[in-house]
Amino acid sequence: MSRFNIPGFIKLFSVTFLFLMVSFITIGTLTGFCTEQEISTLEAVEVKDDTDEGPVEITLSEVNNAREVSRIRVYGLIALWAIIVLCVYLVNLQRKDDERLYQDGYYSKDDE
Amino acid sequence: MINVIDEISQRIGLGSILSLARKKMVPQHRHTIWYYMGGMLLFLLLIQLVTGPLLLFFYKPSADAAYQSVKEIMVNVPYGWLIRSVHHWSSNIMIVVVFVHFFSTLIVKAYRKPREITWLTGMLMLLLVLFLGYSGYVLPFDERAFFALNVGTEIPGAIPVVGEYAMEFLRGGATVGAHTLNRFFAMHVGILPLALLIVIGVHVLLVQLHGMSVPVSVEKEMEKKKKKIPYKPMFPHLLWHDVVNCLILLGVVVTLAVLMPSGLDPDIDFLKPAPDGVKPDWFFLWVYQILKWIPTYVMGIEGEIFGIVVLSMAAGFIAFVPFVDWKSQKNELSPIFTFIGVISLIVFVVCTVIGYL
Repeated sequence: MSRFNIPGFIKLFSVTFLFLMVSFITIGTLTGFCTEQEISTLEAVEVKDDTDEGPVEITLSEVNNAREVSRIRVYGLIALWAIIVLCVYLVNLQRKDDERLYQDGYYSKDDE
Repeated sequence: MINVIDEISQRIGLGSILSLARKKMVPQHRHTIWYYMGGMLLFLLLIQLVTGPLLLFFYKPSADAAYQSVKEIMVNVPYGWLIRSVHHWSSNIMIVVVFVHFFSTLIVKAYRKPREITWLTGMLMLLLVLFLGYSGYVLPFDERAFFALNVGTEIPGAIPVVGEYAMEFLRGGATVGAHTLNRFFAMHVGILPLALLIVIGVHVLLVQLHGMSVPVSVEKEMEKKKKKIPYKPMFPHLLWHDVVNCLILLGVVVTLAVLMPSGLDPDIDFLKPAPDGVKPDWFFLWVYQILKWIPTYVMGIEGEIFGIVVLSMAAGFIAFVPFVDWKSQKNELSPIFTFIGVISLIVFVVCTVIGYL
C-alpha cells in the first residue's frame, strides 16, 4: 500500500476513464456518431465571381432543427448516466475504504 | 506506476497538501448539507471556464455578426448546440446554487465572527455571478437580448445622481447599439470572470482559514445534551461527497442541455417597438416584479427611482447583517435575523414566480 493510499485513487480513475472511452467509442461506432464528422481541408484561395451569393444565411428553422431531441442524443444521455452511476458507485467504494482506513487510525499514523 | 506517483508526489509536495487536508475537519450535523454548495459552485464555474472559451472560438462579438455566429454555433459547429446549451444551463444552475448558498448562509448565520469578510466576499460573488449571467444572456444579440438590454440598462439609469452616467457607460452611448454589445462582451469574457476568480480565491482562502461555521442552534443543542459535535476529515470524507455531487450535477446539466437546448429569438429589428410584457432573465424577475408593483409616484418621487433606492438599501442592509446581528456575534440565538432571512427568501421566490407567470 502506498503512503497516501494513491493506488485506490488511481485505480478508480483508470477504470472510470477506460469505461468512459469504451462507452463513447462503442456508442459512436454503433450509431455512426464518429463517422459523421469527416476530415476536411480549408480552402486556401477564395474565388469570387458575380454569381457568388456570399455566405448562406442560416434560418431559425435550421436552428430549431439542430435543437431537436434525436434518438442518438437520448442514447448518449443514457450512456452518460450509466457512466455517472458507475462512477458514483466506485467513488462510494473508495470513500468507504478511506473511512475504514481513517477509523483504523491509518491517516493519523501517516501524519506522524 | 505506483512508484512514479509517489516520486512525483514527493517532488510537488502532494503529501503535505494531503496531510493538511486530512487535518482539516468538517463538523457533522443536520445542516452539513449546506457545506457542499461551495464545491458545487466551483464545479459549475469549471464547466463555465471550459465551455466559455470553446464558444469564444466561434462567437463573433460585433453587432452585425453576433447573431449569425450564434446560429452557426447551433447548426454548423460540431456539438456547438451542446456546448452552448451546457454553458447556458450550467450558468443558470450556478445562479440557483449561489442563491441557495447565500440564503442558507444568511438563515443559519454562518456570517458570525470571524467570518464577516467571508460573507462580504460572498455577497460580491453573488453580484458578479448575476452580472455574468445577464451579460451572457444578451450576447446572442437577438430580439430578446435587445429588449433585455434596453430594460436592464434602464434600471441603473434610475439611480439618483450617477444613474445617467452608469446607463451611458453600460450602453456605450445614449441608446442600445453596437457599442453596447462590445461592452457586454468585454465584461462577460474579461472583466467579470477575472474579478470573480479573484473574489473566489479570497473567499475560499478565508473559508480554509476559519473553517466551517456551526449554526448556533446546533451548538446550543449539543451543549444541552453535553455532547461534542462530531467531526470528519475534509479529505477524503468531504472530497468524495463533493465528487459525487459534481458527477450528479454534470448529469443534470447535460440532461437539461440535451432535452431543452438553448434557443434563439428572431433577429433584432431596431424599428420594432418593444412588445408588451418584456421580461428580464429569471434571476432578475424578483426585481422586475417589485418595481412593477410600485406605483408611478411614491411620496412625490418617481416610482422606479423609489424602488431602486429601497431595493439598494435592502441589499446594503443584508450585506452588513454580520455587523448588526449582535446576538449572533455573541453566539446567541437571534430569531429576528432568522425571520429576516426567511422573509427575504420568501419574497425572492414569490416575486420570481409571480414575475414569471
